[in-house]
Amino acid sequence: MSDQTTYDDDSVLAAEYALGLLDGPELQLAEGRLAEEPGFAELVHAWEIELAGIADEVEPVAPPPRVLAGLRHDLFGEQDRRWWQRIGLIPSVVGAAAAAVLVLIAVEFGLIDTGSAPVPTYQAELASEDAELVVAAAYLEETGDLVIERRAGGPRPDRALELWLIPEGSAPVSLGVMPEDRIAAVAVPRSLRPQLATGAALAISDEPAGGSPTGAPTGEVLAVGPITAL
Amino acid sequence: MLARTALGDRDAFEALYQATSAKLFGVCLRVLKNETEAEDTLQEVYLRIWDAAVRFRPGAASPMSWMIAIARNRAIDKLRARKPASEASTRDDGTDLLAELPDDAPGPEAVAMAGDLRAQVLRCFEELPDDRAQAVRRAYLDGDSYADLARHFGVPLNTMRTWLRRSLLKLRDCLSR
Repeated sequence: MSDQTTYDDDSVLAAEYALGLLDGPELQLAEGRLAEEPGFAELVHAWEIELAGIADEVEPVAPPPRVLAGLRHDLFGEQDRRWWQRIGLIPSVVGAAAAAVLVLIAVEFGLIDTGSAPVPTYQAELASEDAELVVAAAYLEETGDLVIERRAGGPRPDRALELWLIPEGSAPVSLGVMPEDRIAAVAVPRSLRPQLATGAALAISDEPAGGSPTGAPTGEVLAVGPITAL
Repeated sequence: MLARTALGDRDAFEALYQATSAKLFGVCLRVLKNETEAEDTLQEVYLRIWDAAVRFRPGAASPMSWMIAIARNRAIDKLRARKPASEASTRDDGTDLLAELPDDAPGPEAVAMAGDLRAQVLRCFEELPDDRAQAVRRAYLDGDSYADLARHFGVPLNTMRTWLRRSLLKLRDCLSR
């Protein structure tokens, strides 16, 4: 079809390219024009968008969960590790980071009666990847209270869960051992209050009964979650 | 904070995945007819989407059509890689599609039309003789080249080309109405 390497209508060439019908010199011609002529590239792009309508006839099929798991690994695995290393948490966290993935869910906290009580200004949700441990937190700036709701999980036998505030760009600071009550308020020391803000994170680590003896996390970091403004 | 940004994005990404992955997986499966390959392809498609998503203008062209285009092109590339070289009419792997996004995003009018156009391509198929619409479908979903189509419909290659070019013109006229 060497006699047809030019078209009276670019749109047809663009459609042929979008459909993948071209080969040989015609394909080369189309690829050259695609690279050099924005107008032609636009035509191809427009066809690609229009032809996508053909997929209306294709039945959706839920992909197996491993696809999303693979994507999480590819997209976020390395990032999580780097982040952990940067804030100087224990090296064992490198392995735990994959397991202790934070989930930030845009759910209302639902603990506070906004009619009478102070309104939380920040929240965080912390969950281990297996969702065995799920903790939601809401911070009442007005009173300096961090309200903790343990939605799932608890400390291991003879161990404690310790709550950490990780201010932006610095090392974790203990907020104390998690109270046993499912819902409890933790008073945030006055000096730490300015740091409890967007950009910081909350984390929970597994520690000996009574909490970390060193003032820094010593056990596995089970869950971490960013603090977000409400 | 790096993590916060990444995590915010992650949230959005997972929501996007939940909303769109079944459709895109359906497309990959339909083209490749092989689950393992379709899964691998789907994963690559979302990596591409992730990379290109930062260039997404909110409210710009139907994101679904754009994502389907990426999925279809990627799946067709995989299909072609599998086929014997003689049959394959290689095409670019879709990076062009991504590269064009920033400058190329359609204006508000195109966006407003995008919803119609999607269904419209199928409506416009109705204006074509059945076998011509089928030929476009086969090219789109089965990666058929002109040679494949000529074989399938039992017509000479040049006839197939003329046929399909005429049909594409008709299709374009219908789409632009």
